[in-house]
Amino acid sequence: MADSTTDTAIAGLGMTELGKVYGHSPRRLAADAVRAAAEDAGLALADLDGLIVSSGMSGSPGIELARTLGLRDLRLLTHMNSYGATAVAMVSHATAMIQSGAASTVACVFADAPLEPERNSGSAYHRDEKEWHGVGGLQAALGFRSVNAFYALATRRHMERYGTTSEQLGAIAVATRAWAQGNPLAQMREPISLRDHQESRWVVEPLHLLDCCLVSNGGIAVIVTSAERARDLARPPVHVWGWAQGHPGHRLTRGSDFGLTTGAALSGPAAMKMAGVTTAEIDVCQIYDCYTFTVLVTLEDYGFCAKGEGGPFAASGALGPGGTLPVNTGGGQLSAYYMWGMTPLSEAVIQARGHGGDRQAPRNDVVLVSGNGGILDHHATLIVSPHAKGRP
Amino acid sequence: MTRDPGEDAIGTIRRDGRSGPFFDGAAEGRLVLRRCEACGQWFAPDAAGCPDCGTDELTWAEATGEAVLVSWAVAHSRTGHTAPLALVELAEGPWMYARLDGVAGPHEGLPLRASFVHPDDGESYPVFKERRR
Repeated sequence: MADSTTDTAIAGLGMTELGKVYGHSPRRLAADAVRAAAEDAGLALADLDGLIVSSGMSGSPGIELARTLGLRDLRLLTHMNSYGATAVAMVSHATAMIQSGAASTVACVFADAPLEPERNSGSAYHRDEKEWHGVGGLQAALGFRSVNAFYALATRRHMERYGTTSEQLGAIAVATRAWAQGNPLAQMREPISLRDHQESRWVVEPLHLLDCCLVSNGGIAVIVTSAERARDLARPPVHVWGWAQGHPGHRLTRGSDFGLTTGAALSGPAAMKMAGVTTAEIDVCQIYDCYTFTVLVTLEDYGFCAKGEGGPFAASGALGPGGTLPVNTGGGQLSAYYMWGMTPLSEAVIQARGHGGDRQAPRNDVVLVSGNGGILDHHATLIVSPHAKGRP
Repeated sequence: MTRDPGEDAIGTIRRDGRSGPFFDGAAEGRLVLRRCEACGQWFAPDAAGCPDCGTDELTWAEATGEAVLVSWAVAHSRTGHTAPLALVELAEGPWMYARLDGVAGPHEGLPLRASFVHPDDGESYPVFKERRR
């Protein structure tokens, strides 16, 4: 019988082909990812008694995925959404449900297929109309046509307040691409220089093209179960040590710290407290990088450097291969693949297992994962380890 | 005043069922916002309710049109056009996503004032220009 002291672990990881993969619906991609995750764990689909589904731009899949997979007698089936924070939130929810005894073996899956052949990737997340309606339509008409504009405003505010520079953001793009070179799954593996970053076209100033993530098709799933059960399965368990969410509820009004502080400031310390660790004990970080800026501000909010010092910290070379704090070792969403929160989560599992190959971080005892959703509106943090909790 | 500041195809603006007073005001050169009569707070024109007292009965009220710059960005289209975007803090408190017009040296706290564009087709709308003392 499970109880609140039951520790959990990620026992399976399933990834479809990622990137410019055409011809498969998000539901099919999600189903393939769950099957792959179960196989990876050495489980049959019939061993699952829980399924948590997250969808992207397409709004699919939903809970009908259970029928697609032929899953029967589930004790947990739900759809969750906190945008980029969902993947970590799904693992947290699965853990809480396992600890309560409501379920024992839970698949958590995300899939999306926003890319279409012959269309540029930006168009998947971009609005364009001849006529616009209402105040919201006016906003889009004036140029707020994708999330790029809102993140550009957040980035500029941080630059203005703390002196953060485009070159410091560029250091994050360069470090992330350097990591991607060691990841066979990465979509972008050509090395880039700071100059390449500076010369890449503006998307929305102050964001260059190389400050912005990729857009990808595909699906990724993980299997969460009790740590005890995970020990008997096919792969080395990735133990869940701590988790938390943070939703700051920024109001766009006088006194707001939009762009300066995020939900990471709430969820990071809480997750570390649950895990019993401090920033000094984190060996590897997988930080949600829809933009270079989110890496910078998240590292500040987690306390890896002081508020406002994210720029110099990134520029110091700390984040890349050989640095003091390996960040986004698979190439992140900037260079590898854009699967919302499943990008940092999947790389965390790979690193905790020690399966990183050419990009394996030198130490992997404590791995931190972050998820960010909306326009810095939602945040979730997860801390995992190859070691059972409390016994590093 | 009637020039489109974007120099890029912004398309035609149409009112919807919830934005009539805002666009009526813009046509007359007035910035009209939402206000909660119960607690006196002002909100951006697309606000649906007051999160403090819970009412969804916001009224429309005329603002001064004065603002300061919070943050800014420049959208670049693939056809080479640019659009100067901003987040402005209105004198009444709420922030609003807007376009700048003719601001040469943007910086946090720069004083701004609403100005209105009256296109041949579609609704009028505000943009923000530098406010000189």
